[in-house]
Amino acid sequence: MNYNPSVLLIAIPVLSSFLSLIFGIYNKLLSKIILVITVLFNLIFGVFLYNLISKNGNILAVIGNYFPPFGINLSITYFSISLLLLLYLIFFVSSLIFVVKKDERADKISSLLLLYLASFSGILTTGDLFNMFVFIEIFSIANITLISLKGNGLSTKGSLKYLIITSIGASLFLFGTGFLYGILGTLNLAEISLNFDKISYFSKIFIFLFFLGSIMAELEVFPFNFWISDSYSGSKNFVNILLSGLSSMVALYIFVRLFITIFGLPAFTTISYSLPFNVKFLLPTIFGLSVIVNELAALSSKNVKRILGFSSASSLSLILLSISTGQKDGIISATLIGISVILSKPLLFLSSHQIMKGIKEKNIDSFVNGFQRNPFFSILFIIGVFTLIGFPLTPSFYGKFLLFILATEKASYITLITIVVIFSITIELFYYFRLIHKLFVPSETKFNFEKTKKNFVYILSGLLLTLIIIFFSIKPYFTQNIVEKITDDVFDKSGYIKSCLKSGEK
Amino acid sequence: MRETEFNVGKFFAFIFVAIIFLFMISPLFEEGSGLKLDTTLKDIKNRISYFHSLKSVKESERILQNYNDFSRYREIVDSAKTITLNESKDLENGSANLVTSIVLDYRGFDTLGELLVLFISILGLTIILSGLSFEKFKEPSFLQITGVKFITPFITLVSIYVFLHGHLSPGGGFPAGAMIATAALFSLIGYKYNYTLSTLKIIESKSGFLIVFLATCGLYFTGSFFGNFLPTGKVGELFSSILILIIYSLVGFKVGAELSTGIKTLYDGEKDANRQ
Amino acid sequence: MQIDNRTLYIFSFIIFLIGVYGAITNRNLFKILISLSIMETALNIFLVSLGYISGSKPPILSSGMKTISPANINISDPLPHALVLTAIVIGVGTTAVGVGLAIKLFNHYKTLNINRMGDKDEL
Repeated sequence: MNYNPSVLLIAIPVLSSFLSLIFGIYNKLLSKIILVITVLFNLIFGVFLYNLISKNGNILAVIGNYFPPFGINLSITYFSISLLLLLYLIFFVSSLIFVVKKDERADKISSLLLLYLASFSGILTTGDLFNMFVFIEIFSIANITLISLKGNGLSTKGSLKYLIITSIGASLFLFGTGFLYGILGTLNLAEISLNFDKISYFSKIFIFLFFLGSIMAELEVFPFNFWISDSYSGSKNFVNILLSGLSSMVALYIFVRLFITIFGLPAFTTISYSLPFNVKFLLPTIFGLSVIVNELAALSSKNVKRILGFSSASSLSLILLSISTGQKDGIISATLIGISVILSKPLLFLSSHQIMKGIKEKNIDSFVNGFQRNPFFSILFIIGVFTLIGFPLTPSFYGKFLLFILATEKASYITLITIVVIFSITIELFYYFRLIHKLFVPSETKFNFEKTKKNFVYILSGLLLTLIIIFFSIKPYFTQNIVEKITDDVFDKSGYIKSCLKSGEK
Repeated sequence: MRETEFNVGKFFAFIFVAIIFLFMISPLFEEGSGLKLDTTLKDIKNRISYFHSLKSVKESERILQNYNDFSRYREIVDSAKTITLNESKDLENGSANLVTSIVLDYRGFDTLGELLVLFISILGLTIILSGLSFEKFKEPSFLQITGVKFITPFITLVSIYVFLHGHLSPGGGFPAGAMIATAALFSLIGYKYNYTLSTLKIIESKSGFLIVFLATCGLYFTGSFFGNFLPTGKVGELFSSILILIIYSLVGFKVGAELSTGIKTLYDGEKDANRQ
Repeated sequence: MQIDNRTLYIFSFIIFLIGVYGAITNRNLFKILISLSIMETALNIFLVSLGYISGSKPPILSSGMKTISPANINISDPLPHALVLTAIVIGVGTTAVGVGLAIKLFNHYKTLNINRMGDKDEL
């Protein structure tokens, strides 16, 4: 279905980011209002597009009146719009937290946040490889600036590390793009997906490894995860929420879209064998290793933000592991774990920030006696931990259970996946329960803190996230419906091609 | 560590790089079947940009709609018409420079993204360096001041020429913006014509707003973002493709203001003189 | 003398790997940023050489080449040129942000060596 106005998902944030700078000269409050209104517009328009897609199938939006493959197009599928809605929700929470804080640079930062919004909307909807690269660059520069907002040595160092990693990753991405253009003569994703099988053996390896390297750099996977330790603990609270709940999910989307819908992994039995060498063993090994390394790093660190950062990296690697099993059930479990990570990680960051408020040192000892100081946020923290680990009835429970069943019935890499899953759950249980235990320990030494002020926005956003988690947990059929639709859409290579290239009839 | 010593880290880095090199050139010397990167590119007829060069996209779309399959565009490469300088008129876009026609018309959305990258990186620079101010190295000498007075107007004039002729000759908004920024750098060195960051911020955000607004007008008038709703005229004339002319001028202003902001921020820090 | 595209590709790979080697082995922040710029330059050479056809004319209609038609088209591929324009601007933006961060780090730690940047109160 052809619906051109869906480009407003990108155009309106860009317009209002310029407006926010222009009005910010007169009053900084105006630019904050523009930020909130734009996020709400995107949320409402996203719901509208979601309904449209559920009724009529994939949406194609052409730009400049040139149909694909001649011009750039947006192609919005069920997977992208549903992920986009969840991400808009997280973005809304984080922008609310930004809005209530006082900052001298508020006009510039809200303009930056609006461009961030536009860039991830662009990445999730675009149907052109080079266009995706441009949006990835906007996204990573916005991330770099957001990490360095606090302005101390640690955050600047973290953002510089992130810059070096992402610019190497972007170079690899552009090399891959150039190679594809040189071979196939096109940049349109649908046409690349149509002709990818015809590429010769070594060129396929080249393209595959270059894209894999670039996405792994963004995805906090093991050899590239050293930037987490500085950038999570050095940055502000709303940036933590964006980094853990949103930024990694966008990178995950790129992975899934490129490697499953466009290229087609050979390990996936339902689609064609397009890649030549055995990815079946390469990918699970990398991601399994990454899970273990990140969990051990989280176990060994004392800083709470650092623990949460490494834990989010490890749950991301677990998602990647379950994707790389190559089964349909793997994708289903990845989606379930993904939903719970998107919702619970912001909750954890938010509530731990409130529990530790007023205490100078942000290590695990500052959780001591937290329940008496701040019972509401302690309960939210516990709910977040249970959601992340996979307490029965939460989506993450079903996901991990499914992954476990999958690993035990398939004989080929049964040992690896089972060991990794059990190991990760055990370590996660250990360090999270250590934190929860600290909450109920009465304080022996007197901390010098003033009574924490109740903050309306934090309570509101915490309640919002909790209610959504509870909604997903008590309505399993609703969740199952969404997850199955997403899985079908991810594997629907021919439908993606058809919606882009055969839209001639009116 | 002395340089004569054998450095293990550098040695392993060299080995690593050499392995990557062997891996990278392997597709170029491959002899198997399948599509490969051209070792000698002979024809652009199997590239999508062939249609962009001959400005025959709309015509091809009309033919392909009968097939109901847009992936069969390589079968109709010979259906395009001849384009002659100063004669052909009312084409899809009137730009004689084919690169400009791709940059601002066929792939205009990429260029918008590119502008946003520049915008966000300069914005990030001002946020990162906010509150800092650096000391000046030296007072400018008489020679610097006179030279700057002499040369700055010429640079500005040439840059205006370059962005007005972006659709006819090499150049366009981005090089013109770089030239304007060079003029700004000269004026910083010979501090007579100094400028403030807040003025630049207004210029860049207003021109950026206008560019996106024009693109959104395309959505209203032609039903598609970045649609061309102004007359295209005769190929090769100055007022041939009006929309490209306007957008490239705005791009020139925006890039010039942004690069000047970057230079000024790196030169004296983010603190403005008039901001308390 | 005719240069075929493969030579250009190999040259761009070599320059790219020089950049990678520099980014791995150097400890000075500015040298790392320069290595990243070298990598970006190599990429631009690679992209331009994708559109290079030996003996072709630049893709601009001017007095040297007044007409183009399907039968008589002798131009180099204009699309990689457009891509390179974008890639150059992106490289400038990344370098600007990197230099800003390096200046800020130098103000904080008074050194550019990344091994000596460490606070006592970091953990």
